[in-house]
Amino acid sequence: MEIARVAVGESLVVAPSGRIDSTTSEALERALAAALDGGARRVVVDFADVTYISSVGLRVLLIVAKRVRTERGTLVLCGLGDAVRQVFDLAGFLPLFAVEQTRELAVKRAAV
Amino acid sequence: MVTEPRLTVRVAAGQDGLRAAAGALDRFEAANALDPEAVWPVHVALDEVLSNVVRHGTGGRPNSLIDVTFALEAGSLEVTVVDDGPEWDPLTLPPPDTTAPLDARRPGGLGVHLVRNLMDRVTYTRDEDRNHLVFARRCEAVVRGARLKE
Repeated sequence: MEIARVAVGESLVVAPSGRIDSTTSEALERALAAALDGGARRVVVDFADVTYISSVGLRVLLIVAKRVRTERGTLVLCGLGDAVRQVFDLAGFLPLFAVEQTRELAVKRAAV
Repeated sequence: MVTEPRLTVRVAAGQDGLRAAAGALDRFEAANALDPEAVWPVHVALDEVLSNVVRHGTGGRPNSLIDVTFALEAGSLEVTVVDDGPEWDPLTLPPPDTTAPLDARRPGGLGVHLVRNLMDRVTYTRDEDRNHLVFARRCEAVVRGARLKE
């Protein structure tokens, strides 16, 4: 799994690609923790290039969402394809997150 | 008579083994020209089941091996995971609360919940001191050459 990091305005977009499963989720966890440690407070996670996510990936997002809330930042997810969306839906995760269709909309929402 | 395709791999109970098992499913998918849209849920289920086996059963013994078999049975992709850890039936886990607000959310139990919901059938048996977990999902072969997105 590769993880791209792009600063867009005041937001940091983190875009993993490939599979988020128990062999790759630690890398995502580290990348997001490093972003927050580095002072990012408006974080967008773009799933456009993610083929699927398993529950360890959901756990990472849960941890990040709780931390962002504590630190009064914003977290917006975007680019959820059918596979990722279905897993979020089954886990009841969709109501927990701000979700936008595109990266552009997500960056806009994170800046609010 | 055409034999139904089948692939068995023996993997170590750890990260490398999980990676090897996912790679074997990739090979099985390619060899049988399976529809990727039908295979990704099986990938997720495999990751959930194997990581549970590593965590609950054989994880304390790094030399433990897990047998994973992929088979096409009557239009379904069926996966059998066999380990020699202590008896543990993941299907007895209570369902997680998927409606709680963020602060009250706990990640535990989500994996088995996903397996139950993404698969058409899941069965557990304890046989000859081994755990056998079988899960299957309907899966058609795609026409060769009609390449779908990766």
